[in-house]
Amino acid sequence: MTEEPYRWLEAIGNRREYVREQLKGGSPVFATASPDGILLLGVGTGHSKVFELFDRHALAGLGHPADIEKIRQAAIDAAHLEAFNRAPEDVSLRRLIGFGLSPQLKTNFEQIFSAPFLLELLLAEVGLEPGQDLIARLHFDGAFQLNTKGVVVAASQPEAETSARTWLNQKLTGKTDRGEITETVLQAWWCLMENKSFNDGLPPEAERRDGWRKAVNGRSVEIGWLARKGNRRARYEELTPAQLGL
Amino acid sequence: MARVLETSFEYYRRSQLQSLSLPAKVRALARLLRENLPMTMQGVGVVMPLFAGVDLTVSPPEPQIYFYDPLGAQFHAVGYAASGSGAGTIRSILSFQDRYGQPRPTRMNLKQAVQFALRLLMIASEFDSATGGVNPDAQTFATIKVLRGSGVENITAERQGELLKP
Repeated sequence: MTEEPYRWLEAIGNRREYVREQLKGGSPVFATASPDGILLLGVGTGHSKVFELFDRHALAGLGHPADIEKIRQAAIDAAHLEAFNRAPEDVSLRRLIGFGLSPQLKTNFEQIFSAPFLLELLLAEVGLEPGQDLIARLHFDGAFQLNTKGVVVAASQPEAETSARTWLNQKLTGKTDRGEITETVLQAWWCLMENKSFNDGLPPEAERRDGWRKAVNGRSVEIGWLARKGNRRARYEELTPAQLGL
Repeated sequence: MARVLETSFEYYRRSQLQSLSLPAKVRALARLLRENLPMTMQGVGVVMPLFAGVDLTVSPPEPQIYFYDPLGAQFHAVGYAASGSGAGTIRSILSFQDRYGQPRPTRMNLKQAVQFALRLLMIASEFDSATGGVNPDAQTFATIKVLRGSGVENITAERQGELLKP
């Protein structure tokens, strides 16, 4: 009996290692807040990485499609139930994650005899003003960080994720054009997929531009746009690179 | 009912990643009415709605109007429909306009359609005390929404006032 706590620690450690191993090579996703709204981007197979959740909410993720689907459905169910029982204005990302998704993921992660969720997620909520935006980085174990501005990245490797995020935040400071933002984000996506080091100097811009264009051949660039202003209540819109001049 | 339908249609669209078809939306409202039947029989919550939608499966997208009876039977209206206690009064005007009028309701532009609808409401309120009516002098207008392939547009009271001017 005395060794039980150690077994627990080991089991959790093994589980964490297993999830990270399974997620290796997953295609990263990005969310960038700008004065006009929030742009989410992922490269997948079409309706596989970036999704609408509710009027002002969207999700982007990498991992096992079945697990992403489970969490997506849970988030949509919770948001619509809340909107119907209360009001659409009462649906908030902070509550959706804090009281819904995060505890669910944590419980699942700690049940060591059941399969863990294999995913890393980004959830975004566009506010009335830029300062009211919320981008949440939700991990497979239920841990989450909330951000109100800038770029947030979800990638399979934590170090690469941090480096990519820092690089993107520097590159995108002051940029508001959606096409320009998408171009830069896709360059970062290519660098992450090719395991290029953001700290030791990246390939020249021409190579990066060329690189992502070749790499997305046969794949689908999924872009979700949460507009800050609009006549419709649902602010989510799917965009294509061609619509953004890419 | 509008809230239930709005939530369920949006829920379907987001969760299934495709929109519900127009016939399915029409039947969803019929089902709601059928489920409301016990309340209707008790004299509470009698609803006879109109349902308008755009059929996106044809090119160009086509507007469709449906009307219902309180038991949930659905009927496809060809050019116009009216519901409510004052509808009896104005249905004959609509029929006349559709048969002999120029332009016919289906051929009216936005200004003509808004003028026509507001004037019909004024007539209906004269003959039916339960119809609220419209009073441009007191800046009292109706709730008007225009359905297009791109979405629903709200015609504000100010705009209605402008459109009502000859």
